Amino acid sequence: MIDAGWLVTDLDPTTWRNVTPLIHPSTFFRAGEPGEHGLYVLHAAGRPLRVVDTRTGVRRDLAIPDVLDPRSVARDLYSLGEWDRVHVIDRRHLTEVGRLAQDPSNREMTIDAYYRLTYHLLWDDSDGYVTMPARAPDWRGWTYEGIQRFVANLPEAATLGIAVTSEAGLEIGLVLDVCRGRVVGVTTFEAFGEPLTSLSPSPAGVAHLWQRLEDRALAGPGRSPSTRAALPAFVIVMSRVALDALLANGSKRAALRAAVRRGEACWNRSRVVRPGNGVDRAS
Amino acid sequence: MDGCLVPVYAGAAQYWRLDRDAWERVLDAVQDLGFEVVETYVPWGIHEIAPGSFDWGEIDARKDLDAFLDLCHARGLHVLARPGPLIDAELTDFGFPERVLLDPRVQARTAVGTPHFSLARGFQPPHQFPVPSYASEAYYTEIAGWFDAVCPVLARHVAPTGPIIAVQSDNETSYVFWDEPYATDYADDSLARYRDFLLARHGSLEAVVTAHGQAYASLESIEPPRDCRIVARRDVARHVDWLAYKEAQVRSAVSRVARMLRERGLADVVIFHDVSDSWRTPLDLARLEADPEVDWVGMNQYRSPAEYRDIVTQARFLSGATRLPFVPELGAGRWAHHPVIPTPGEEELTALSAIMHGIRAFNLYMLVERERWTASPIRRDGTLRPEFARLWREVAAFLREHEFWRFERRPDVLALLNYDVCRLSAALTTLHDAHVDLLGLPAALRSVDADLGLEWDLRREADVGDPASWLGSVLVELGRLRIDHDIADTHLGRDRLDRYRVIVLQSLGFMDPVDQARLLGWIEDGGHLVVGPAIPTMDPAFLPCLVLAHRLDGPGTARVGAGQITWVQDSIAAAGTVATTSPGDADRQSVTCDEPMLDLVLHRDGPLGMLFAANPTPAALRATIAISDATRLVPAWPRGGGATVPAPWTVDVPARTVRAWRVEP
Repeated sequence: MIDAGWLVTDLDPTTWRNVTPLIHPSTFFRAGEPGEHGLYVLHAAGRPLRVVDTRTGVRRDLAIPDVLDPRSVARDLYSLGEWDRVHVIDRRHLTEVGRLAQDPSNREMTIDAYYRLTYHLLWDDSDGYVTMPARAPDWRGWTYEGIQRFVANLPEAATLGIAVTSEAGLEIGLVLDVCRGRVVGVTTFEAFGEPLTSLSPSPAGVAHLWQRLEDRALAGPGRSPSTRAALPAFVIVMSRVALDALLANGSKRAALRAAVRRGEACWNRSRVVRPGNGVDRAS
Repeated sequence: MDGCLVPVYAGAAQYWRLDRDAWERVLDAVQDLGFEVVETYVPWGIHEIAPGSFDWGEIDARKDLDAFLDLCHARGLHVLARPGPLIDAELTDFGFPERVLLDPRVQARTAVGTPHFSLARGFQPPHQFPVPSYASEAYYTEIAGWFDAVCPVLARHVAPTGPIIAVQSDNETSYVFWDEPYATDYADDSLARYRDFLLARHGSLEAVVTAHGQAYASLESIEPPRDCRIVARRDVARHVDWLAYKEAQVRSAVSRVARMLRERGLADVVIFHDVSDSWRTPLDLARLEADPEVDWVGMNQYRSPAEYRDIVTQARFLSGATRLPFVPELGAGRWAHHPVIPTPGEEELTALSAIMHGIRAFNLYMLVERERWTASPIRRDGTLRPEFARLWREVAAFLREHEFWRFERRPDVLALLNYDVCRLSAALTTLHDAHVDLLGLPAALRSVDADLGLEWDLRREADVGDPASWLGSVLVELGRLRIDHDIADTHLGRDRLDRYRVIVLQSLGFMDPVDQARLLGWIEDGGHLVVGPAIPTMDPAFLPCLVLAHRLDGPGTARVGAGQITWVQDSIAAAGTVATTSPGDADRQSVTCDEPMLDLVLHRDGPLGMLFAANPTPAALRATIAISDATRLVPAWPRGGGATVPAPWTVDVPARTVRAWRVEP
């Protein structure tokens, strides 16, 4: 999905300040939420090595038995009611994840596929890393497969525009260039040259952004001479409130519909309604 | 240069990522902001178009290095050149040609025998690659081919007839950030070097057998530890030998690459190296800079205001451990996948704090934005980002206006981190497997308990930032007493020890005898050593070693030659000892202040001073300052900051800002 030679250019600091917290891989890998009170039990083939409480440090007072059944150990410890989550980790599992992930053949994968492989190696169905309660199987409703489906349904060459606004102005103005299912370019509205200062989550706002993306594709490079952008295929303008709801809600479709109803989001995609033919606010 | 002092206030601009027709505009903007030194990488993988074949602009005009250097020279700009071989710069494959990385003979190996992918620790998009081994002869053969091509180009442009004033040897040599002891490098070439290292260190196979307590039948049968297996003191030597080897491997790689540069026409130019962000094993700044092939070592800084104390420690460490305290990459913006993009206000605090506490040379990375980077003052088309451009223009003007390079801190006191304490603390860790960093595990889970009979908590004492540690507490107290000091570690050479009159040494009871002997010589020649909480009675393998200890029977002070040694178990008392015995200098101005939360540092240039005040807290501070032998306090930062402050000098320092005043007699 992410091309090894992607061009990431003209990143306006405001947009990027708002985007980067959403993209770090550890956000998707870790079992515990930030600030959560956790208990970690590290063992090797059942022999407890170390028990650490995230608030008080090493817990030698807990009489952890040999970890014959990691799930029951996690369940029993969790039932004490002391922690938000209990983690039982087999040291050998982590070693094996590293070993399998770094197989020479995995060099060929795109970076997102590589992380996805590593994710599945870590969170396979074994008892290598068990948590109680179990971690969510996806990240707030986002799944890799869902994003893959979205990208696969785009035209062979497509540009996506994403705008997030608030009372303070434009918080995110993001442009993605996709070619044959791979993201080959990332930029921000700074690539337009002329600033795009006012955008509303309305048909007019979407049409305006759509037009700017079309102009970029037809007029050529702007500040990105090495890439020639494709025509827009998907544009969305939403409020910060709508974005936060979208991120937090397990059902992205429901969150988006609700935001559209409230006038907090508006979008268009080329396969549904071509630019100039109006804007689909409901689908 | 030619009898003129060239302050290294540099900024990065990467020619091959800029349109050829934008070079002039970009360099105009660099000079317009007040910078006279440009830094650039020269990436192997960009210039090599086929094995042994390179594009120097014949195919892609952006790769015309000669033209870029000519352009810099014509404008009077100096250049720092960084030809790798490792680059990073968020380049795909870190600037290596893929064919080199895919050669199995070149690749480093993990503890479980796989190649070591760049993503093993840290997030480095856009593509994972197998990391080269610093021990691979095949790797050095390939580097020689690259240097044979690039060095003649660089050599044509070396000062004084060209713009290049310094060249970097490799880049952030630290196993691509996976520097935990048992992560990598278990490649065959590396293991062979490890065995040679053990022979050189111990003298014979029999001595290695004795030291490690292992029944090695032959040199070839020696295997390094692949995880921490320290249970008791008898296990320590085998593990710390592996860590010491990896330190030597890093130093050897930097030194060898530097020598290869010198052998190819770059003999008469300064060779420097940049350490990523750590002074702990396997990094060893004092020994890196002591290497005859390496002239100068610096350390990069991409810190946030919340890390103010780390900035202070780093600046003081570079002041203590290196010739010219240098930040080869001082964050001006961030790489695209960095989790936090700073504001101009945040960059002002972090950069000026570094300068305030001792940084005297820096390279703004990136002064000129390029792909995969954001928040630079100059965009890649040469236009400015006004809010960031304003900041860096002001910083450059401030430094030049006051000829800041003439000012310096000259502390009498040096705090020495015990390298052996840090090394043993690192040896007692586990879970160095690939990708464990993604899991957010608590640090304590990665520690290993061992029965070493230590009276103090090794892990806490190894963290100088922990005010509950002995040395951390001493540093806090020195700050409270406003005793200016530098920091270094116990590998510091005698020539640098001689700059100080009082040294505070951290010891938990074990220390390398060679390092002890060096300090003993310094004491005998008139220095005053304050050591605590223990005095070393053992070497790092916990064998008896009384180089310093036989001068004292217990806590207290003893005269040794022309100097003295004081053993103090209590950290507050140790700082008090420094305060009472540090001779100070009657010729120097001294500063007092009634606001303990305000950090003050006075730089001096003869009778002139430059007083910095940092307020890292979230609330504004007001303080009354007194400076001996000073009559005028003229606002210097921010520039245009108002009229001379009338005595008594009451100053206001807003939250999370740095202020500076010129102090006149």
